Amino acid sequence: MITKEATIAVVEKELEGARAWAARNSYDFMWDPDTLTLHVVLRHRSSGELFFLSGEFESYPVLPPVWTFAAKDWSGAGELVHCPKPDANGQAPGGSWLFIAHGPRAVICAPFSRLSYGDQGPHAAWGDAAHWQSVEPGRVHAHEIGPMLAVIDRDLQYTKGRMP
Amino acid sequence: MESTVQDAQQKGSGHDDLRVTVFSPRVPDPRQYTWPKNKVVGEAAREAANDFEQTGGTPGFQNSEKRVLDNSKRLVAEGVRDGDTLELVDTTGGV
Repeated sequence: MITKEATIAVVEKELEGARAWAARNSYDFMWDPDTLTLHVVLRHRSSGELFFLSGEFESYPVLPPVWTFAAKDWSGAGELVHCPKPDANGQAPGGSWLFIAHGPRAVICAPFSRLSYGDQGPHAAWGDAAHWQSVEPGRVHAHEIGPMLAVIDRDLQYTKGRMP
Repeated sequence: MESTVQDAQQKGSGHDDLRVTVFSPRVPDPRQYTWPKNKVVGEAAREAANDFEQTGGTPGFQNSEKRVLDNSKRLVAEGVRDGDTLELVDTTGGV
């Protein structure tokens, strides 16, 4: 598929913009090339509540990242309680929410989110996640880390509380 | 951080123009634009996205309060003021 070194090269090039985006927002931003993990602490502007976003980049960009929300100590990735909750009385900024509950797990439902695919994901019909850059062209579009973070943060700002 | 100054239109800033700083999450440096107040948000966003090589999707803007501007409305109607900073963001939804 792709070597770890090649993945690191791609990620670290994309992180130039992503890191600057995080700095503009005063978000903590931590990249670990050994584990290929990115941790970004997002903040809900209105409530001040913090959300701990984890990205796993093994096999990136052949496969999209695994994006999950976790606890403050980065445990419990994907548990509902760590995920922002769509505002039942509000409107998703893109017309439909990124954050969904899929069974007992929270999923960031987008072509750039690996957990959207496969038998365990909400979109098994999308097939192989390797096609992530051409899946659902009319839906949310982000092919690099900075734009992915921006879209996730975009929806976060319109949520209210935490799942479930 | 060094800004990259690049005017989209060299017609000078007047009462009908807005000078705006646009950031993209793709790259560290912003770009400067001078747009008519009545320019449609979506058109301005597409122009900026093309300059930032942020292709595809439906680009739009977030303002400094993280409100996603309505792409169908004009900049002035969405509260954009001279000197504002906008952030490029895709405006389509999840699946």
